[in-house]
Amino acid sequence: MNDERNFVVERKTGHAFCVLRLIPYVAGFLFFILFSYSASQVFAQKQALTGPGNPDSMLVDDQQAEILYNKAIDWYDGDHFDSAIQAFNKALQLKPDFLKALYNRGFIRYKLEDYPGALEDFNKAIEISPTARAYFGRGLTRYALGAKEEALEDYNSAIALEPNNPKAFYYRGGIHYENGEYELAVDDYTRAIMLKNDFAYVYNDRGSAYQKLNHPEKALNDYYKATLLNPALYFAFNDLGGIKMQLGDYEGAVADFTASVKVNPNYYIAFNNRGMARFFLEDYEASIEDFSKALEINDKYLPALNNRGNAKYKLKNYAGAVIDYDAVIGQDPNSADTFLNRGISKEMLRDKGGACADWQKAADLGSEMAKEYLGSCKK
Amino acid sequence: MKRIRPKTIAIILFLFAFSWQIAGQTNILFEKENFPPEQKNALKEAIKEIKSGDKYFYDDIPVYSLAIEYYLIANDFNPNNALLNYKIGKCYLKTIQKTKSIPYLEKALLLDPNIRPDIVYLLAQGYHLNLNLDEAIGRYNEYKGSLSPHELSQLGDEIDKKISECKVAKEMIRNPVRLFIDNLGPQVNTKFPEYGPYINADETVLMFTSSRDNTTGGKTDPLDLMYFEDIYISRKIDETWTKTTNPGSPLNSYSHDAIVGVSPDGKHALIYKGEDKGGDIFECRIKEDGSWKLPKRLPKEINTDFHESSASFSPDMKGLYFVSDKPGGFGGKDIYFSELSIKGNKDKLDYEDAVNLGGVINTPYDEQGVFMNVDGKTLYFSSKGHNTMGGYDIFKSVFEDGKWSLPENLGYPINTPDDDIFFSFSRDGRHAYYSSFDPDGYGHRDIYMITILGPEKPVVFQNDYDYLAFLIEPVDEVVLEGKVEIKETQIAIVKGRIMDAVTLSPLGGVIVEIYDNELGRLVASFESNTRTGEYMISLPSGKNYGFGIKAKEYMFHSENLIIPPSTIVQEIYMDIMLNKVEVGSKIILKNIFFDFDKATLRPESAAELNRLAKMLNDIPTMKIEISGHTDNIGSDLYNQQLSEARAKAVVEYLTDKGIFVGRMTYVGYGEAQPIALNDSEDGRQMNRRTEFTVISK
Repeated sequence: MNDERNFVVERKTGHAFCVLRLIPYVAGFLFFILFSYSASQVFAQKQALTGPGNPDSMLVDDQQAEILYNKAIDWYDGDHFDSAIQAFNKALQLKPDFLKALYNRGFIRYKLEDYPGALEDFNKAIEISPTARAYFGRGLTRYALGAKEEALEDYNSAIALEPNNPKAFYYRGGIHYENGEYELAVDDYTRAIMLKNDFAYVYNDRGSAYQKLNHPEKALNDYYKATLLNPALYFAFNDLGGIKMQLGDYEGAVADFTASVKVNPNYYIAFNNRGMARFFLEDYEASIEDFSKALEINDKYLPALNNRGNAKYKLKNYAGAVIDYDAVIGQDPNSADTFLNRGISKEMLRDKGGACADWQKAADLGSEMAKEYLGSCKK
Repeated sequence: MKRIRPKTIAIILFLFAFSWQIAGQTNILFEKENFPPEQKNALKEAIKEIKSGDKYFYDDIPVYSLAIEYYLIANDFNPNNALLNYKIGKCYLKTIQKTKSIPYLEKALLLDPNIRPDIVYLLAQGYHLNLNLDEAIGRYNEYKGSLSPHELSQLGDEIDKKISECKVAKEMIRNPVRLFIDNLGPQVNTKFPEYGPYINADETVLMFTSSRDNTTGGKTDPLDLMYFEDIYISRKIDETWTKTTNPGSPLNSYSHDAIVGVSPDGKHALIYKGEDKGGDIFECRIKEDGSWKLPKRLPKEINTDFHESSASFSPDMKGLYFVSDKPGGFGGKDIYFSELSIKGNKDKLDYEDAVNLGGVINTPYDEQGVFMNVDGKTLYFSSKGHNTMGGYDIFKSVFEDGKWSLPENLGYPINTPDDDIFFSFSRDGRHAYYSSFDPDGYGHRDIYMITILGPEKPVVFQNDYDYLAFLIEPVDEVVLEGKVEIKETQIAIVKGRIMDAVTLSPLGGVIVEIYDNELGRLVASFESNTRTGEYMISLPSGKNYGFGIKAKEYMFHSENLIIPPSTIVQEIYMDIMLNKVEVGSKIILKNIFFDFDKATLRPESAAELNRLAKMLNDIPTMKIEISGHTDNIGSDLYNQQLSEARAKAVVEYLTDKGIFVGRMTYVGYGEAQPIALNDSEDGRQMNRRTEFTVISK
């Protein structure tokens, strides 16, 4: 309803609003041109006075670089990231070893997902002065570039130079987690929590690491703590629900998934999970509604399609289930789970040949269960 | 006599009819007082039907299915007779349509709760069979509560077992077995009853019993007026059952012939004949031409004077499992095994003494319908004991490690509260064949195939959780360094002339290099005016600069210029005198710096020393002396040693830069050769110096 009303308002004011929205950009652009022109005029006068190669020009360069640097920060604070980058570019042309400018440009480039550019800046910064900040920035950038091991080295360096930085521990823990080194991840997360005990993200992620280490009770505690520290962490509610579901507390799980989608009504993953919890509560109709909602938000989210097929199966709507499974397989022909499930529904449709073909495909894709079911296909 | 007006008659008739309506809830006996005179004949007919039904109902061997037909006619006339409803209900309970008993028994109970002592018990059984299990338990308990102590001692255990069966049934229904049930179709089933199906190992030969009008001899059994049972055979070709055939004599006789077992290859049949000796088992073999040999009664080790019924070959045909109610068992009918010995004559079968399968299989209740699977170790049988849901249930036990496993109830809906018996199973246990009545079937009992799907195959879910937070909602880690304070540093203008130190003539085109000594980098390089020898340079103030001046045929010259910070533009005049390269010429190296009180060269000295090294390389024949000087602070000896060590450090640096050590000497003069008075800091600063002197060129 709100969306609809906003839409109407925006339509009425749309044209003017667009023009108004352009003003800061235009103003920013004009200011930058004027500023650049003014700075270049001063620079040209100095050059004329002292001649090229004159150290006076270096003085001007340094000062000019600092002026540009400060201006770049103003651009950034005004969300004019491209203008900020241009100003940092000029500052660094004038003063190539301007460390703070390198940091800042590196971080903005990282933010703008110009990871090669960010990497170049952090590399240069480390060359000039190997600080924890530079290593941390490069760690983030390398991780974004998929170079996890190199990122790990950078976080190690950042921690060595600044052992009280919880974020470096947090991100290093993330890499350990992704490397399957969950014990190490828990260690890093615990260090991060010791340094910052209200770090909700870390509680969430330590919960995930505990989950991987098969300590569901510890995971549950951490997820719960994360939701207490930050009730806006919809994914923490989702994680909490996931653990409860694993522990068989389906009603509790439904409550958490509901909390998750209340915070973020577009979080289709929580809708899918709530559908599962409701499935296990044998409320198949409601679970179908949740799966459908997840698909309404993201029609490419195949797990919800697969799971909706499962709910239809439980309602003995085998043909309907097969339609959903068909749609999954159409988009992901390597989904062993869905082939397995489709085979189960086809069996109930008395399509033994079809069921066996699906189980064979699932087995080829690595499903152990399918291999077991194939035993019933032998005459 | 007063005439009765038609209107009055109508009212009387209406009230009479209404009285019947009221009487609908009461027990109406079949007596003429209870019916209008015009129904007198109909009443007579109804009573006659009841009497006909009673002949079958009260017979020593009751035929309830026939009794029902008469009772139902009478019930059409008067549906509100408690006793008749009771009888109909009881009859139905004894037929295949057992659950039809419920409305009649309920009505009988409503009309007269005391119509018969067992009415509640029968109703409980009806509910039990109809899977109204909570009602059944309630009625069983009600009945139990109504019994006298003596009756309770007689029936208490039986009623408790029924209650227990209801509880088992509830549990079984909660976890039903998944299966498909398929009627074998019109090639096998007819309007007549078909039952007792037996399948061979590869499910291609089906033998079963049926009471059909083409029975051998074409006669009916006077007891139930059903045709005598015969054995029928169907074969499966291309997954389709063919039209059944009656193999006739000698497999079938004019009397009842029932199949109770088939060998795995379908060439041996086990037949039950019940006409004498309480019922015995016969074996019949098929000939090469497809006809059957004369059935042979199995020997005394199998057949006794008691009742032997169901039997099953072991898959190797070297033994026989069979059911007998002979004494010495665990109670009722038990399952036995007798091993077959073939001695000498191949046609002569010699069985060992039968062995009771023991207390794991057999119970104080009846076991029946034994079937050994082709694997030789999985035994299927029916039992009224174990954890049955009611009547016979089918169980499975596996013989492993010398003992039978605990019998496993095959579950609902294979088993029901009714008698589930005479099943045969396929080799892999996935298919079972049995008979049942279904109103949608071909009539009476039909043969069905069950496909056992096994436990429900769990569907696999796909979901997502235990994510890493920063992957879902990346935190904006961009926290910029803050702004810098911009200091308005002013410029110092340094200017002067470069001249010959002797002639004072201006030297043009002289190269001037200026280094930022703190950063150790070249900040400017230019030449003096070619005509006037003048130069001018503007430099940021607040820095330490090193000047290096080089002119051809002149000595290298250096100046150190520290320009103090200032907010105003400074002008510094600095004329530079160059000496020609001659023996005895002396230059102060003004941009060489040492750590305080030490002979350690500081990094910012490198530019000056490198210039000196270049000059020595440019004039490879030149030899120099490096001399160190101090101010007058400290002792003479200390100053001499310090100055010498510093001169030596310069020589070592140059040597490291590739200058031959033989071209250089070093000496420390201490405070002996001041060039300024030591009474001021400026003067002492000038005296603290390093020089080089040309010794030869």
